[in-house]
Amino acid sequence: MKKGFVLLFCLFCLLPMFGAGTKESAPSGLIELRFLGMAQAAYSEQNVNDMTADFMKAHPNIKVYTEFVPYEELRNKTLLAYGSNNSYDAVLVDDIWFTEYDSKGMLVDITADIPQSYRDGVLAGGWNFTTKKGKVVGLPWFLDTMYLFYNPTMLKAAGYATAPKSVEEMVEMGRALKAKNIVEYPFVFSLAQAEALICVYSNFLEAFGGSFQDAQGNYILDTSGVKALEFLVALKQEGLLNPNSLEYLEEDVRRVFSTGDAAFTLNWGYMYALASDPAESKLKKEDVAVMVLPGSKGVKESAAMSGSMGLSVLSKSKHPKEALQYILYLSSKEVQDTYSNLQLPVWTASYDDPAIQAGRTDLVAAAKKAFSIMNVRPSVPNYQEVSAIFQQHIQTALYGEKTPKQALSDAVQMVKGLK
Amino acid sequence: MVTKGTRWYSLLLAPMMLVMGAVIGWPLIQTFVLSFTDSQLMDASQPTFVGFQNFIAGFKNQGFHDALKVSALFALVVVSSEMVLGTGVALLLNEPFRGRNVVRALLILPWAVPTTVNAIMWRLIYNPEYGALNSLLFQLGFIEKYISWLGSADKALGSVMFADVWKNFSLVAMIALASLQSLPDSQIEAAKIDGANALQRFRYITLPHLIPSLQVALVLRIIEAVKVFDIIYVMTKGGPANKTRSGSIFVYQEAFTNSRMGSGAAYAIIMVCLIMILIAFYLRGISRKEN
Repeated sequence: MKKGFVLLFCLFCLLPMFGAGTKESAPSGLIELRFLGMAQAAYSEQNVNDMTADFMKAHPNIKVYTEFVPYEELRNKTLLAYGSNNSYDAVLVDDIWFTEYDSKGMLVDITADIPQSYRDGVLAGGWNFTTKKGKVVGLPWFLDTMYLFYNPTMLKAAGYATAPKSVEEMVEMGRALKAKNIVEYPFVFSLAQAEALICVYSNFLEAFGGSFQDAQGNYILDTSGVKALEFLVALKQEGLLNPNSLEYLEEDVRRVFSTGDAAFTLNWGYMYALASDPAESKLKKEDVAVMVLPGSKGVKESAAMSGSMGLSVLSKSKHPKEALQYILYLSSKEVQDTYSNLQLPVWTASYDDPAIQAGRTDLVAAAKKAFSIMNVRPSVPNYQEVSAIFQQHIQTALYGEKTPKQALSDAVQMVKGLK
Repeated sequence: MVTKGTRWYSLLLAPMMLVMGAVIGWPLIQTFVLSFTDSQLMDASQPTFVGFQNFIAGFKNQGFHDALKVSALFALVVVSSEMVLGTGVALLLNEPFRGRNVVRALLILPWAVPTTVNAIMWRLIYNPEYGALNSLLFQLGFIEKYISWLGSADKALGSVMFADVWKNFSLVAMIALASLQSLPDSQIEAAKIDGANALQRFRYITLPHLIPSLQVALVLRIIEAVKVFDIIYVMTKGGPANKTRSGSIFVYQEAFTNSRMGSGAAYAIIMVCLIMILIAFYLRGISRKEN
């Protein structure tokens, strides 16, 4: 009995030795990097993995492990991995997170390491959100905004030959479409309690000439902010807005628009190609048009709010030099031009390239215009909390539980009370 | 008395105790310590001791009160529905009929489905454009238009509760069914001979026999339901307008979205204490009844 136990004990102790041979270990000299990206349509996981494979082919001494999570989990996963001492080397960062990450000392200052070709060639708007306190802490990877997508075939059927020139004209068109039974709900927006809601609201806030904060950082939503929210509430009350919008994210509105159940929606640039792709949509090419959201009559011509993202090296990376090499490769002009089917490049020269423009001249024109005027959401370290408060209160107004003025006033009070 | 035998058992148990201490005890202690500090996620500076400040703020926070109300309502509706439905199904499956074993096996399915999968499945069923539920109700003539179940402030919580009941009633049913198997047929037969009707047989024989097992199921389900997180997070993320934000979702948001680990830990401890008080009252009630 005793001998048997001793034998078992010895076998137990030897177990790790049997296991040791099975674990794949990195050959000496091989540098391993971990990258965290976003599971999305553009750039897709497949796109990033293909880019990464090409990078590794060109750099045989570097192996990159990629991971992808939905947008909603990207920030938390980045923060938790960083805090757990199992940090990623390079990550994708939304423009609203740069201030927070930088304030926590998470991002490597790459100011001195950016090649001149990047400084000169990348759209100026890109560097605005990746530069904090004079330091460049990320490379712009894609510049984006919520464009206004509309269905010209429906508009023609309602007697409109041109695109709307103001939000008021857009509403008039919506009324005509509904009155003529062309579409039951002309508008569909992503107004679920998520960041998408803030993106939609902030575009209309811009359209009405407003901004979240003044120059001193005080939240000012009592005039134009209220108008923008009243506009959305009125659309819902009038039956012009698809009531399901309050549970929709971007992919949901894309689907609704693509089935011909809406004439107007706001969405990111990736939707343009998919909205007329027979595999993804019932619409034909001529049923899909895109433009920058028009402004309110007499206030401004057009409005755009940034929804851009960048790539950064995290300061806990053991191989910051190689991680920088990797993100420089991902954001290089050659790579971006190659994978520009659903995502426009950040390089100025690409916008004049006939190959990039082919089949989407209106999107490229809209992008050029949007990038020159687009504003940003509040650039504050506690943005996530601020955004969550606005999401809740804006929805409260959309449900009719509070007036837009009361809802925004309560939200601003709560934001002011944050620690 | 410590004998050679008990010492040997302790030695064998030691590795497991060590593992338990590492994966349960240590995080608990850490959470407790955190709750008395102003610790922030990813803040390089040393957290400061703030005493009971986080707990006081928690008791004053309206958002936390609302989240606790959601948790309480969720637990009340979900657990009571599961108990009634589970017991009813167990009684049915205890009766002999053709294909009973197949139905019993199928009963396990909802419970065996991972919560996240269940939540995604119900999201699809509730979809306001092509969801099966809308289609069914529309074809039966119960609704004139498709409904946004998860996007309506007044329907979202009920919809999530229904999805949870569907998943978990089978656990109660299985526990009750196992208990019913041990109920001697002779008691029922004797009651029948004495002229007891079906309701009386259930009231005076079956139910008293079932109660101890149902009590176990009740405690398990109350604990699970009060701390509900996953099904809500996947289905609504606490929306719309925070109408489905439970206590656990609130704790998660406080710790990870708002990066306040200290107060997040304090809120979590308040929730644990509330559950413990609930269970203590319940156990006291049982022991009184037994005495």
